[in-house]
Amino acid sequence: MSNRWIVRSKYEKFSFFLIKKEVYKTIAVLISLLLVVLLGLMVGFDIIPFHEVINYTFNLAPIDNEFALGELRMPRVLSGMIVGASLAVAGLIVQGIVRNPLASPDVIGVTSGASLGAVLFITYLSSSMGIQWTPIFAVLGAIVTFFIIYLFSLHPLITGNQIVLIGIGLAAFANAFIMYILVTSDSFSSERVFLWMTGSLYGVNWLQTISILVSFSSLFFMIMWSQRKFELYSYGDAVAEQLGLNLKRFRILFLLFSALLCGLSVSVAGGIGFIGLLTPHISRKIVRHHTSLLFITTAGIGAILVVLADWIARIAFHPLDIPVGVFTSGIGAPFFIYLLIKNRNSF
Amino acid sequence: MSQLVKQNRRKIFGLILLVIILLICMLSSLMFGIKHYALADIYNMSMFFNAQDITHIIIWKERFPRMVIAVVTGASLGMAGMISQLLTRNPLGSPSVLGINAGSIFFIVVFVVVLNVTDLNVIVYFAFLGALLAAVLVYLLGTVSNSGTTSVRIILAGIAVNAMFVSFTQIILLMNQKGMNDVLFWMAGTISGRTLDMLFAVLPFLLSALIVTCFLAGSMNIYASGESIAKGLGQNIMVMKLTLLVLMVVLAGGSLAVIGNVAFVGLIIPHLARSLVGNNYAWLTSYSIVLGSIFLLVADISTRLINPPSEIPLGVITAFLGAPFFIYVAFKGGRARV
Repeated sequence: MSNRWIVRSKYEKFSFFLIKKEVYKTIAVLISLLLVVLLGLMVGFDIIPFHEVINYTFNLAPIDNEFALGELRMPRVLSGMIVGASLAVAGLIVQGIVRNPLASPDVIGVTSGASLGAVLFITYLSSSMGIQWTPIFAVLGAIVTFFIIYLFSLHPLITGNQIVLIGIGLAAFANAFIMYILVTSDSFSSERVFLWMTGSLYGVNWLQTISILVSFSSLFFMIMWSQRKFELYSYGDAVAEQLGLNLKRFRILFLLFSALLCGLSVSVAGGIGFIGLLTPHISRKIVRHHTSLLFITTAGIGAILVVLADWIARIAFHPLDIPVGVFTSGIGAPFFIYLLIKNRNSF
Repeated sequence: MSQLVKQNRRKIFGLILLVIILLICMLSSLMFGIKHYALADIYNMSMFFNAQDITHIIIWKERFPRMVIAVVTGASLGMAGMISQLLTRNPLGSPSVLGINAGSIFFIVVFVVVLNVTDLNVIVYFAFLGALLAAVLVYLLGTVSNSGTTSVRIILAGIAVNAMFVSFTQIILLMNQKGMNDVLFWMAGTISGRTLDMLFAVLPFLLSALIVTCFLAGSMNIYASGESIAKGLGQNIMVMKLTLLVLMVVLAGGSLAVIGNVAFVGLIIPHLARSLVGNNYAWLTSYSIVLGSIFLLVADISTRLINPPSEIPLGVITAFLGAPFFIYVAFKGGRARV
């Protein structure tokens, strides 16, 4: 009869409602994600049958394609999933904070900042400290970039559009810096950097997969925990403040979340463009009302897009393995153009 | 009246001073590098050229073409930036920001890698075509708004077109990896290793575009005062826009065909010129030409001096200088008049 569910805790400490349709749609997204992941695991240079995937995953019986599935495909598909989800959620957060539909971590330079941090580390420090610390420096790069943008945003007259433009400048600067390092460093480390920079999921190992899986889950849990703040903020500065939101603290907290997510994905897969920009638009079409559902669908769709794009990049040009980042930009840039046309009256 | 004369006199002196600086930069470009040469060497080379002397050969075959190319392309890029900022009425609207570099490079890459042709006389036309396509695309996207061209829209359209062409270029290169080396210098942007033949293929286009732009200064002044005023003064807006578009495409595309993706020159130079001489296009054109040449000469000299004996791509140096400048202009909110 009713189109919504009302959820209450025992003593009504909290209560909220869920629109049935949106819940179903979210579940549909998650099921599609499962299907896409299966596709990515089963279909490649050769086809691994469904029962072998199940047998391997749940450790039921030994299988023939253990190396191809366990060491190559599974880490790649799983980390693609996490990378996509992180980028998408980071994009949703940035768009929410700047209140600009064209903002995303890669447009405003955070991805480039993270890349710069990682490249600096790989070139100058990795031989003495060990390559496994790369994520820390990628995250540092992302945080520094966000901090610079945040400093600019404190100026009273600055608009969201100007912040986007400033971010574009930061991205250009970071990219020039990366080019400079690539050119001046010795060929051994620059080759290593180049391999990593192309935005590829090629050769991801289990250690990386597990570590981003763990960090993404904990971050996503914290974001879901404070998602109500995100909803309040979307009502506008004045209303949010009236309702008791500390604007400054909120912005810093969520930018930090976004920077961490970005740094993590960059450290594993390099700069995969346009996922952070594109995904929130799709998910906002699916879920309008409930922010926690919005976060879940965004993560799900981001994961679907990256796994799918990586799968196509792997299959379509066989035997070449096209970096997934090139592929997402090729699709993402026309979409950006579509957004510009669609939002033609809003700015 | 006397005030005006005095002001003009100052601008003439400024121009003469800049030309002197330009000449010094041209000499430095011949002198400094991985190996430094004395003025006497250059004098000897120009007066008593000896085909056996290695010094003479290096200066004549290596340094001299570089200097000439830097002067011509610098002037063209500076002018292209000035025109594009006027055309988009946006202080950030330079060719590289608008994706015109990327469009040009994409067409060059398609032509060289896929169609396997290396005749620069033909490549130039493809560079023009790519620049034109990108420019038209960005302009259309920037103006679909009901409220007219807003300054952010056109930049965002440029960013999108830029990203699109860059990824298309990457896809083509990934599918034809053996062609990578043939086009890499275009993508990094450099004057090193370019010969005078390459310049001669584009020189007629660049020079005529530069001259035409100088003659158009009066019309540009009228156009700059706003479309309705210009219309009221009898200017044909459509013709003016088209002329400016073609000039920009020729200047930017032609330079790119020689030195590749050197960004941000067209952003910096017009602002510098405007801060020196104000908004009069009669002065802006001449100042942009000289300043552009100086800028690219200095940038090219520093590519050799920063990390010898290896060279840094010219595009990296200009991006290092240009990106903070872009941020500065964006932060200012484009309040500077164009």
